[in-house]
Amino acid sequence: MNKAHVSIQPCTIESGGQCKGCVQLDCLNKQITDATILLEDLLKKRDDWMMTQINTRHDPFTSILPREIASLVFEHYVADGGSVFFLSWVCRTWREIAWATPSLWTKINIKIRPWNRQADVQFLKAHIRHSGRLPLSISLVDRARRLEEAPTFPVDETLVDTVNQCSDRWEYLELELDPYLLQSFRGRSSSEVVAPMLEELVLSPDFCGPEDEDRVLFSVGQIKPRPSKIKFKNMPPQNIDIEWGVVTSVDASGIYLHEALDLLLRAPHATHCKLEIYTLFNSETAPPIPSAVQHNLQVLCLRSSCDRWAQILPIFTNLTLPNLEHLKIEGDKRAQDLPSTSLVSLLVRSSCPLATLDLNEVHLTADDLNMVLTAAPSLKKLSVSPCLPDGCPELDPLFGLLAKTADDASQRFLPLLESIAITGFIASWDPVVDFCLQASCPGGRPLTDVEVNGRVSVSVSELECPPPRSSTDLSTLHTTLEGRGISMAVRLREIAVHDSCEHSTDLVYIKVNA
Amino acid sequence: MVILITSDNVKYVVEKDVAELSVLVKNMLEDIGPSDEPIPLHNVTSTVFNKVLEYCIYHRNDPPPSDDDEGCASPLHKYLASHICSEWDQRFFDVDQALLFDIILAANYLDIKTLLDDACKAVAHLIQGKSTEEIRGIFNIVNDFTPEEEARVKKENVSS
Repeated sequence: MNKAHVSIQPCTIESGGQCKGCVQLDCLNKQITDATILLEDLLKKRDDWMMTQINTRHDPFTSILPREIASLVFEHYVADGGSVFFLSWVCRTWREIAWATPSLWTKINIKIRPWNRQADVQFLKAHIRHSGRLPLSISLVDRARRLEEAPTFPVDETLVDTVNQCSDRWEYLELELDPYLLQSFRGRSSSEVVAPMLEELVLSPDFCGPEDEDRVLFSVGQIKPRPSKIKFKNMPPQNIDIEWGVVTSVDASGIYLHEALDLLLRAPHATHCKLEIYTLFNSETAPPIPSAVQHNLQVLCLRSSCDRWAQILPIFTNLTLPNLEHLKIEGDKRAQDLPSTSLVSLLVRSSCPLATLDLNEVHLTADDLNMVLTAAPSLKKLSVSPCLPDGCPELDPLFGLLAKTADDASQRFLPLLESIAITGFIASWDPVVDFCLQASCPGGRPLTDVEVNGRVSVSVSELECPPPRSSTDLSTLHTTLEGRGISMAVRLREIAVHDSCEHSTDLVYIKVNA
Repeated sequence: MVILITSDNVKYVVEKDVAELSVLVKNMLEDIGPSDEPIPLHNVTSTVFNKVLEYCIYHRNDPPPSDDDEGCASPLHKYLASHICSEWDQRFFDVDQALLFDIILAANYLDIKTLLDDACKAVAHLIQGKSTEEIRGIFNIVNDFTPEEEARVKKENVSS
């Protein structure tokens, strides 16, 4: 029995009142009640006020920093991937700061899960509420459905509606959802200009074949959004209803060849373009391929998802890019037929100021390489990572050309070259060394970085220690370059190859601080 | 050269381009015109100013912040666009907590935006990846939520 709450029946021993003991008991009970109330008050005061007061002394965010700087720290925390909710769980003051800093709530990433729908909607609404009127970055990703191979579950309509309601604040919108769902994102129905702030759009519906093309559609409002950047895959560009004329950066994958060419015509002001192209299973159904001149494109990255480069040959033969400065071509082991002649025709026809060429995972011969480079005399940076082992070119002819001396700098092969990183078979390091040393000649190339991974075929006994392939001691190259006043990062690596065995050695490794 | 005097009366002779990384000093120099008058820095002690000066000398040749950095771009955008802190910066900010907060206050007073940003980033880094309890431990904070509040707060969805 709890002695603090002792109570007995009303006293009847004495007429006209309680006995002395009962009076004392009542008095004590009252004192205990009062004390309990006081204790509860004190506890509440401690919880409600005193702890917060202690924090105002202890916590530097409250005691030292002005609010706006505390907000700035929080902004950096969130920008680096931290959750605003964690901040708001620390203490009341942090919660107040977090809730009163709209910029902490502008990035909304939701990974949709069927068991989490209500929470997703709350999460979204909290961000929209606390972010004030700031532009929003919204990402809705539904990977769980694909991973589990579960039947399609409908994404919560409230979630879609809530995203639509704030379309006037979309700045970045990423939708990685079932194809049919894209149509649901139509923005606020009440306004004519539905997404006036949209800067970047990312659409990644799950794979759909040609039969799905009509139902994969992104279209909002009567006045089209004007994003400057768009990234999409697995849908035809004509099904994305935006103002293509203002797009400057395009990243498209899983599109067909005719769509790729069409895309470049649709977006005449695109300066950066990354294309991963598929081929139609039945090429007879392919529409005619248009020719295209795109005057603004400066950066083009091409990736083939075909068995053969020949299947997308028109990208080289039908395209003219007079301002192309950076070209990257990525292949894979399957595609062994890099169309060097067509690539040269693209460069010659475009007469472009190509400064960077990056050939990655391609099959090349020495002749291919020399032919392509001859068509790109303005080149400043060259990177070649061919498919190993069969796609490797012989490098001796190239370095033979590069090492050739010329009185007139304009007669030099690739006179503007600053950086080269290349892998290929090599018979002698001498032309490579000559090429490096030429940087000190009058009108020499402005070389800053040279990386050559030279593969050499050897016998088993030579694998660990292949015979020297240089007439000079390569270990002295550092001193020689220094003596000539050349500051250049150089890495010459020899890879001795026998069947499937390889052994690599750094012959020269000079690091230069950037 | 510019003469600066800290709140504890320590005099510094600083090259003009370094001193002018502080917008406060730059504006004062413009206001007073050519003069040998020392500029008082009322809110900065010499201990803190030594660190500020070290930062300014190291970063004196950095390109000025772009218009985007100055204007409405949020730290998120700036973070994505900015370089990762150099090793030097990491070493520079590896100081005790009190000094780090003093550097922030000094950067704010002197109006040195890059130092303020980098120092705030360093504090954010202190709490990054830490649990609520660990964060309270770092800054000697007590949990002032009532049990009811705490229960409500913990229900908030953080998982997305």
